[in-house]
Amino acid sequence: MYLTNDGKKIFVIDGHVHLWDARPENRLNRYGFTFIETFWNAHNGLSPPDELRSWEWMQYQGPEQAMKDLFEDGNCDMAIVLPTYLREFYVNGFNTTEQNAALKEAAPEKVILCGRFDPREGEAGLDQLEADHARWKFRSVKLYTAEWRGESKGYSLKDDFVGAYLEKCRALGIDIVHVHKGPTIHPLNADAFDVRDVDHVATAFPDLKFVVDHCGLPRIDDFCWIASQEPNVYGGLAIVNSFIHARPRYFASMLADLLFFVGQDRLIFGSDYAIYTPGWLVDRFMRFEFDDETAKEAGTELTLDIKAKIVGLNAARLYGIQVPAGCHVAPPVERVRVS
Amino acid sequence: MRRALAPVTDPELDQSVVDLDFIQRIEIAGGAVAIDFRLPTFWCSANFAWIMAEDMREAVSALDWVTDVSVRLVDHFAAGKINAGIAAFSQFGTEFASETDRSLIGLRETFRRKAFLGRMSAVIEALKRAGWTGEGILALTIGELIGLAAESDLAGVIDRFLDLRQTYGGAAGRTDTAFRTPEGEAIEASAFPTFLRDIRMSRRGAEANGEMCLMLLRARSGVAPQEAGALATRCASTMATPPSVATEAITSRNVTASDISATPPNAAMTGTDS
Repeated sequence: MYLTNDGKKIFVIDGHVHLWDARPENRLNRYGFTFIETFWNAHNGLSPPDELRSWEWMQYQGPEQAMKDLFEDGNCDMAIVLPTYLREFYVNGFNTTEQNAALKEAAPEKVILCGRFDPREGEAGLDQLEADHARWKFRSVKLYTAEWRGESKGYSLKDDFVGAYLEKCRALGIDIVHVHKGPTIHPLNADAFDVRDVDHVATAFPDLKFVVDHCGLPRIDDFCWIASQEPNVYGGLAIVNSFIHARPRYFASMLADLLFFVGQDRLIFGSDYAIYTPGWLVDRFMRFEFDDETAKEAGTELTLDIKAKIVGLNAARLYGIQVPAGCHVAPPVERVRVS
Repeated sequence: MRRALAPVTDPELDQSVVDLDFIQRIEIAGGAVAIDFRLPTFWCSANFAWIMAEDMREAVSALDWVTDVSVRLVDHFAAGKINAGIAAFSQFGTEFASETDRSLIGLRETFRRKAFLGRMSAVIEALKRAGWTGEGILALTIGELIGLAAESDLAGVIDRFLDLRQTYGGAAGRTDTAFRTPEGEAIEASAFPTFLRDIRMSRRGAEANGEMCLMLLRARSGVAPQEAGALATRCASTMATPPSVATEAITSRNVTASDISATPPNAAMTGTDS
């Protein structure tokens, strides 16, 4: 819960959270080091100086620390916890659903646990998805199309083996698919972070909802074209919203474009914990204003309604979560589709 | 040397590799030039790294006193493969055959086209700030734009745009219209605001990512974790020291053509990408 200066209660869902273990004993090879090193540099590059954490914290948070960072100090009512397995780099995986489940156990009513699949795992992968779903009952999955698997250095959602997995999701009642489409971290095969493959599956599976995490950065333009055409595509603002301190002008201009092309009802705040923490991010965002020129480009001021939607109401609507009484609410707006 | 390398860009960002601080070391011995470059993360895209290495070699080879150029990527997951491939004048698609299904030609084209639009956006915004109207801008010819570059402070953005105007936008004589779609079609005045908005968005996404790259690169040089001991367990055979310890070397801010370092290539950082 975030409280504005004039006493309004804002319901907050952090739409992009991880708990990971990159401690030396869990690293399988040097990639395990360089991967977390990149996160550490991103943490140092964009965080305000007084929000910097230790290298030990960066490597491992654990449920207790995460509870504090998210729900005590972080303004969050709830968090969507996404897995990133990376078994090629880490002995027990980097950030598995099992690891995340420890946080769910600590705070069942606050944590939305997310599953995963890798469509390159064939029949065994379908069975695993079914078993994972039976165990954790998630209604969303996280896909990491650039993940290494043996010789493969990534896949595209256009690949013909993806469809069977999305059909399986449908059958299991999994209707929300988070897809990582962001900067760096090794896109290789036909550029695995190219965002345009989302268009393909969003059209083929109109009943599923696709959250494009990081809004395709740096291909925000490609993402905007797709999201403006496909009503079942959402923008996950992780990383994008983290520009708010170090590069506020870029943050403002990216958000203006997203509001203009995608609209205020399909953008979801994400701290990308534990690269950043939601405490300072939510606070700065709630106090952020557009200048006149940016408001003109966005087609709107950055109103309290819009802020409340981005930090919580949109994710609540997507996941069917009841917003507690007394919190500020704002209904979705009718908007003319940009063609 | 920096002037020769300046036109080489990161294709995705359309910013100079020199401005982005990617050049880490330049060694000159007679006509032989050796360049080390380092990207913001260990994980930056291999295909873009390859393009930059090729372009750097080409740019430096064009200098008449240069007899031999070697370009080396350091601290990168695919450094070994890329460096060997570039040294052998091989092709990306050959070296990464198991991991990619296309050559870099299409990728280059995609990003050159975006760069053309981004550069156009920069010129048009500068003209608007200088008081030009939409109609005035759309009527400008290439010759008039060259004239403006000579008599205003817009030379930088205009020259960058005109560099690519030869490739995109159709006929590019002095009397041809300067601003057209990449395919050479005229831009209607009524569609101009929408067109501008679209191409500005593309440019800003790239600029924002460029900022991220600069911050990551600075953090990589400044605050990288030091844990040589912790890495030892499984990585000892491939790597003597963590990246941060291995290459505290010279950053491009203080590299000059006279910086001839005796430091041998850091073998630990290359050849271990398999």
